[in-house]
Amino acid sequence: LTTQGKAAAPLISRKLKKRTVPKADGRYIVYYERP
Amino acid sequence: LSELRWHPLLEEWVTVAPWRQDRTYHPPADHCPLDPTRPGMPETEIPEPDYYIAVFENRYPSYSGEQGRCEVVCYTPDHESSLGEQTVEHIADLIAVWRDRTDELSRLPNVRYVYIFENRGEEIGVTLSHPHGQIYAYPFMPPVMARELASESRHMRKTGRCIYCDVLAGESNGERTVVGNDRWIAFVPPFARWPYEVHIAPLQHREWLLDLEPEDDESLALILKALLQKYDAVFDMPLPYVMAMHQRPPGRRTPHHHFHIEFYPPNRSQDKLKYLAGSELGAGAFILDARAEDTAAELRQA
Repeated sequence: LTTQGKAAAPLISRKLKKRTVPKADGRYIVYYERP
Repeated sequence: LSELRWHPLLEEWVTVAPWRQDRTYHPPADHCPLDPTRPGMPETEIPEPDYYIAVFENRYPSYSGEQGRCEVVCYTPDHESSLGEQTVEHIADLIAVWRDRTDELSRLPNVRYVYIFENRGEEIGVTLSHPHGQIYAYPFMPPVMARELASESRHMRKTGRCIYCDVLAGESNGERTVVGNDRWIAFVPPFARWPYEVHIAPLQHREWLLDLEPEDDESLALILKALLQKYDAVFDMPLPYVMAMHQRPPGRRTPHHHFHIEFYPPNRSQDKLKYLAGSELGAGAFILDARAEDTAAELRQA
């Protein structure tokens, strides 16, 4: 819910897929993709 | 980790991060670290051969580990493109990415503020021309936001109203409106400190990206794209700017804060830049040689 009590937008829409991958040096990269 | 030093006169933190001196500086186009990794070529920051939108931890962070985060948001694999050239659908997806990053970074234990921004153009100090933005998750409240939240809070205590809602009410005659729809407005505020400064704000009160309704994303994407196209049309060149998102801080109730995005192009004409100099830098007093009403009309017609 939003602070106004209404339905909030989803964090990421169903059309978007999130994939978090560790990098070789310990950092991360997050891919946001449309399947 | 960075060293945080307290400025006792201005009562604000100065972040000392000497390793940032070594960050990549204007690499040739075929060695861009924000391009996907092409087969047979050295690995870039993005190991995969293609991407849609990608976010990674900055190699030269101002804040990392227990202090916070610095992330780079790559809008597109297309090196020659820009945010304003993306489709409305792509920008709406980027808004969802910004919201997801806000949510994730807000959950880190020592983060006091999540700041989404973009520096565009060499004039503004950009060292990588690939279209991208950044996110800083600060271990303290940045001074501009602290000052803004304090004045918003005072106004609400005094009047019971949101100060930014009052600002928007003052825009009803459309004299300073650049572009708008039924949910968002882009306007040159009467108190602009840069000639072509524009704010984008929701007409209904929202505190941050996590407060947006499902219909808000595409509606904001339309306004964002329209503004950026006008920026590039006004002088018939890619206009440099700083884009600064003013969200509420995580973990605090702030009914007095109204989410908005501020844009500061440094140009005062096609070939002249406004520099922050004696009055602005030394005294904090902005002097402006343009009226908001006039620059809004120029942008409206661009």
